[in-house]
Amino acid sequence: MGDQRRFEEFYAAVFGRLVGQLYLVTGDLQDAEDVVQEALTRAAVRWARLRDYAIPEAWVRRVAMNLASDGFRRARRRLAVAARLRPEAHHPATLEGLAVADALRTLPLAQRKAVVLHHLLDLPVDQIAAELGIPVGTVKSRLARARGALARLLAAQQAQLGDPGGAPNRG
Amino acid sequence: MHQTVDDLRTQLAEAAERAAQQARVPGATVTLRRARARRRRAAGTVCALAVVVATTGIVVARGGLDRPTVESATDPGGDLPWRPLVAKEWGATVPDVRPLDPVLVGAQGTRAGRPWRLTVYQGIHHPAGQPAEQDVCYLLEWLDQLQGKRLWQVHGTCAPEQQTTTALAAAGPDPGSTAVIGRAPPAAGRVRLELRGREPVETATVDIGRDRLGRFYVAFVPRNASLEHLVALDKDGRQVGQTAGLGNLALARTPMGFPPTGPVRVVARAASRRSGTLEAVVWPTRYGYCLSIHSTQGAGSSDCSSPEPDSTADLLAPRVHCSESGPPPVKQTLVAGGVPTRAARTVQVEAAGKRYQVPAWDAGEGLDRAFFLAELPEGPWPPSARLTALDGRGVSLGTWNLPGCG
Repeated sequence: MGDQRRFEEFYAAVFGRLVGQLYLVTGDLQDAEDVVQEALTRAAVRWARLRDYAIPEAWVRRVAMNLASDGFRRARRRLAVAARLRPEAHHPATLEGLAVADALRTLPLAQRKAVVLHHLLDLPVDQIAAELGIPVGTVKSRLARARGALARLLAAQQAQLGDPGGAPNRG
Repeated sequence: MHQTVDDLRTQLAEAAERAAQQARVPGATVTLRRARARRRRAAGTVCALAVVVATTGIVVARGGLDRPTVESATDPGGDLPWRPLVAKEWGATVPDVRPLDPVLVGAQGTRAGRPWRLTVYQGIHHPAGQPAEQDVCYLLEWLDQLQGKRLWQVHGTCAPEQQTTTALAAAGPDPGSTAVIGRAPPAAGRVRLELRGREPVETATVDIGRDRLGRFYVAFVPRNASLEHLVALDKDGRQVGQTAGLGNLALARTPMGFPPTGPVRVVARAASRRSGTLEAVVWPTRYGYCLSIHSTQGAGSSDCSSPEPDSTADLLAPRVHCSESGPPPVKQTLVAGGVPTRAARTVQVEAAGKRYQVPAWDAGEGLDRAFFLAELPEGPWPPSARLTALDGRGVSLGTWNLPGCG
């Protein structure tokens, strides 16, 4: 029972946060919910071991990141069968007015993952390399390419809007 | 522009926060319920591969029969694969096996108009509470011809490096044949697949340039062949390795599980009103056992012990298996498993107010159980079932209450 309560607390603490992170990776809110839910289910299966991890959330995020592959959208129908108990979500797949999310969606998946892990979660490049199973140099190059592309995209978006001051946190 | 990028973290945090606020939370209760179901079913959570895992998971979640996984292998529909991952990415998804570079393509070809390739890599297998060991992983990847490199379906497994001769059935797009893939010792120049009632099939092994990993093979055999035994032969025809066969390849659900480490045995059989003959098949694996229940018409599901400490104990125990097929939707219920007494000759199943009696078979030493397989009449899934094992004189050997699905 104690274990169950601990998992419930863990679930409540991390679900929204992970969906937020995975939304930036998948570009689709329902996809993000699905991969996080699937990753948490796997975590629940292994909870007896995961509960002793220093950061079980990192394990769940890693699994969710891996699930968030390009093919996931096509897979969702199948996953939905397994996840048939989850409530139907009738909310928009994307969130309006999030320029950075729109820009991220145009990047390759691999770059999106690197951006989220580095710029949102502050993970150092060597940890990202370990988490994604790729060389450090590859992480750096993905980040560099992503930053360049994002800079161009965000600047273009602002130019289109014609009012940079409309966005928050602009000096 | 620089300012925009410098501010990236803030913008990302804002976007993530908004998405988090919008997220619909299914709830930990639902998650725990699904996790418990998966643990009970222990559906090959570690080594069965992407599509295979997905298909199995769903089949098992639905209880299995009449959701033929073979069907999906012959259906080039647009919703496969479940997860078109490269081997490395797949491996990284599995917490207990860490893939190591390089990922090698050992062989490739085309079958039934669809390209395939054999991919091999090493992994570090590190189950909870146990020492790490070296694994060798091999996958048969079917590619989507129309989309170049895109994966269509994957079958494969990871097995201990010491298990140098292995066999794994891997259904593909050809309805007339099944691929059998596996490892062979470094000295093996070819493997011979001994089939029941047929000429053996021999195929050359592939040297992938890594002696330590041994050699690999891909053999195509008739889909309804029964693989009795596999023998690895050196260039002079001497036996350098062997492994148990997989049984009837049309029925074998070994792709969902792990390579057998011992004989594959049919432990129970029953005539089905809808599915021809039903069989329960058990084979030992590195983690315990796989139990497959399938029909002669090809439908079936498999459960395999996983390395999770709490998921292996009851794999062979009696369970209620519920499935739904259609349209129109038809609910089926099987009650099957091994009662922990070899003296049982009959098992009495009580469910939904009715009583059924089916034979039980002694599975012999090692398994130390008597297995039975009962198909209940079509209708609503029962909320529970009660079993009584009877000896040859009809004396009760024990009674068990099982949760149902209703």
